[in-house]
Amino acid sequence: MVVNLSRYIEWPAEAFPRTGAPLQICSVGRGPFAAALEQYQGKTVLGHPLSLRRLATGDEPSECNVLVVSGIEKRYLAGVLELARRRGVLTVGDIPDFARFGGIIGLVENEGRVRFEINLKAAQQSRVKISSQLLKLAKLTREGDQ
Amino acid sequence: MSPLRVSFVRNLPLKRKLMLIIMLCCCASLLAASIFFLTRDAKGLYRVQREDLVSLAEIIGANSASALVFDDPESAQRTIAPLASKRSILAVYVLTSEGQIMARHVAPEAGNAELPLERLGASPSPAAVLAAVEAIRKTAEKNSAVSGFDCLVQPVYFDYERVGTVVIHADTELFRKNLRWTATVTLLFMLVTVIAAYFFSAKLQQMISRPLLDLLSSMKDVSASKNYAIRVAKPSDDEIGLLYDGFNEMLSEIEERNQILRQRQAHLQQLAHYDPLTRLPNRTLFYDRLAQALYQAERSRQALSVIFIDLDHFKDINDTLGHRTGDLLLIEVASRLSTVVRSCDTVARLGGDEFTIFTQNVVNAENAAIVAAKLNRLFAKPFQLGESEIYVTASIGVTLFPHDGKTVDELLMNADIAMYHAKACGKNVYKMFDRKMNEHATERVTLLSDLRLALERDEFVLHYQPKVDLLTGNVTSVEALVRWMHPRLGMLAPDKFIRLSEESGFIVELTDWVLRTACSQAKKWQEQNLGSVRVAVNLSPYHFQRQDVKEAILSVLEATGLEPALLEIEITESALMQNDEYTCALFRELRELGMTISVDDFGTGYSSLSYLHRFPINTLKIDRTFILNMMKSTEDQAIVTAIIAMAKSLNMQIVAEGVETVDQLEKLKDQGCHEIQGFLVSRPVAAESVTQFFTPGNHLHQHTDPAQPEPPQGASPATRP
Repeated sequence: MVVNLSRYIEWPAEAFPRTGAPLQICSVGRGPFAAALEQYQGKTVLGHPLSLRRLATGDEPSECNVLVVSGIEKRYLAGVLELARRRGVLTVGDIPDFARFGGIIGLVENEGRVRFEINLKAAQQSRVKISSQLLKLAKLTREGDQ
Repeated sequence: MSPLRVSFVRNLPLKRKLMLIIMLCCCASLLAASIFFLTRDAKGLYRVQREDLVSLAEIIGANSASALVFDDPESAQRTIAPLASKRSILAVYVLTSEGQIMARHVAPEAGNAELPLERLGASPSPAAVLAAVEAIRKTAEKNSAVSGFDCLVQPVYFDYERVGTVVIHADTELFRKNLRWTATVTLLFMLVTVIAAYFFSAKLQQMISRPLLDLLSSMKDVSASKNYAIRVAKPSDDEIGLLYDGFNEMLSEIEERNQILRQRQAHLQQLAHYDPLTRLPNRTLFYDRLAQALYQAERSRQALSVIFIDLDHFKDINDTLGHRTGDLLLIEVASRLSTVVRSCDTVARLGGDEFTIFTQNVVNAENAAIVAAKLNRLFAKPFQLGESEIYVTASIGVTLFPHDGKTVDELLMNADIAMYHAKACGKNVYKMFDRKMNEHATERVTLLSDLRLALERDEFVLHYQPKVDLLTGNVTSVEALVRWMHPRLGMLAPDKFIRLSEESGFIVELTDWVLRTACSQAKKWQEQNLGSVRVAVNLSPYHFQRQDVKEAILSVLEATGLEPALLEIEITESALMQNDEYTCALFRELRELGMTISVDDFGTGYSSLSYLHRFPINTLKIDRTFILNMMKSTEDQAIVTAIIAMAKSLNMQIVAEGVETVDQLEKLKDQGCHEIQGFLVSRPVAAESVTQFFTPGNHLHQHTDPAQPEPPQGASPATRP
């Protein structure tokens, strides 16, 4: 899911200093969602080889393009997101109201299917562009929305 | 193409042929163009439809890729929802790569339930769906520009990964409708163009066919009317123009030739029907006209007279004055004859000096006689022929239709017979035909055939009549006179057959026989010591037309062995005058050989006395008619005196013919005539009898003695052969 999502994302130019530079997907927390990433190890996304890395809570998500947040406590969430926002990292999480908390894409389970909540403001702040194709599937959310 | 069809096309009229060619070219190019444009149009339509569907599928694919990736059927359904308004789209499916139908749009039209994916039911198994999609893909490959593009299977890729499939079913009806419409329009256009081309070609072909057909009709006109003066007006300066020129030239040529032909025909007609000399109708035309006239006369029961005219002594005139003068005379006679007849009558020249006339509407025989008498009178005036003026008479025979004959030949033959009778009756008269004349004519024909046999049958004999010197009473010579012992008619005098022999050419053989017999007789007398008496033989004028007279005489002399001095040649005055250079030379030669030359019947011909001395003549024999009339007519007496005087001055011997009385003898003696011949001395007698006169002595003595008169024997005096 995360890999597919990253295909609809346009990162700032400096995120990939050279062609063929790896797309770094980092994960925080121990949720099932993060664990599912393992199967994508070695695949290529939009010409970038995938590179998976696990981070501990509070680690600088340096060189990460995507930060998957799964199964961490809500109290750490703001900090993680803050770090990611500064580094221009796409944040994806399956924590409820993830987007409202400042994450960029939140995954929500609805009628057995995964749906998206996207925080466009957070995306702008992280300088990542989200494809309209993805946007039309998603529910747009703002911080503080109920 | 079969030969039959080729000949069918070949035999088409020119118009149809030209139109056929134009139409064929037109239709072929139209068809080619139409097929080209129709194909192009169909391909274009097909391509557009295909591109439309492909781009549609791509758009759908692109727009539903995310929905596929993130398994969002609603979103996918939204993507294809706008297609509901597109009527040409029957159905659109968005399928996941696993075969799950993510979104579907089916137009609510009947029959769409038959679509392959619809037949699978509401919730098909993924495997069945994939199989159906594969089938659809295969069908799509078979789509063409003709059937239209009706389905499309378009895979959806996302980041090089196949994420699903878009299946589109399109309605080809519109495509086909478009194609049909284009085809219909094209066909209509073709039809209109072909019709237009038909009318156009009908006009266009006239450019070529019209002048040719005009020429054809002119040609038909010409051959139907035979009017070669027709000319055609040239329509253009191309090959057809040249054809017209050629046609005109040919017509001119034909016209010219026709004209020449007509002239020649007219000339031939003239030659065939008219006598070139007198310009009178000739025998052919006369016969033709007479036959017509007879036919009409028979129908209208009218009489018709045929008149035969023969000039008297024409031959003598020809001989003495030349053929040129003879021709002039004929022309003059022709013009005189023409003055007498009416316009409905015909004057013709049958040939020689024979003219014929037929007059229609003759009331009776007297009427015809009046015409004949009138014709006789035409000859009363002299004819002026160049320098000379001569009197010519004509003998005329007249026949009447239907009395004397019914046919042309019969009438002409009888007229001829009547004419001969007129001649026999002293000439310069006319005779109406009489049936009795026919008998004479028949006799003539029989006589002619007998004559040819007479020599073979040895029926001719010679009688001899002595000439006696008036001074001595001695016989100087005997004249050989031919007699014909005809087996049926008895002895015939020369006047019965000489003219016939002359006309038939038999005279040459006869004269030859006479010459031979007379010479051998003279030789015989000499050998029997009965005396050397000259024998005189008459040469016919016809004989002189032969160039070998001298040779003939010499060969006889050689054969008989008679000395030339014992042969005397007697000729008539007219024979003397004809061909006078030749005659003169001939006589000189004969005389040099020792023969004696006498001129017989002197005084009756036309000889100019001034010419006489030019001829080497020994003797002149005064014609019997002068002697006969001498005692009654002072004019004849004067002529005799004059002839004797002239002959003496020219040193010629004078013989008086036909002396019958002592009075005549005395008179002639007084005049100084040298010799006499006649019944007074002896009539012509057989060879044995004449020898009694050969003894020297005065054979005149007996006659001067009244006691022993010689009674004239026979009704008519003997004449020369």
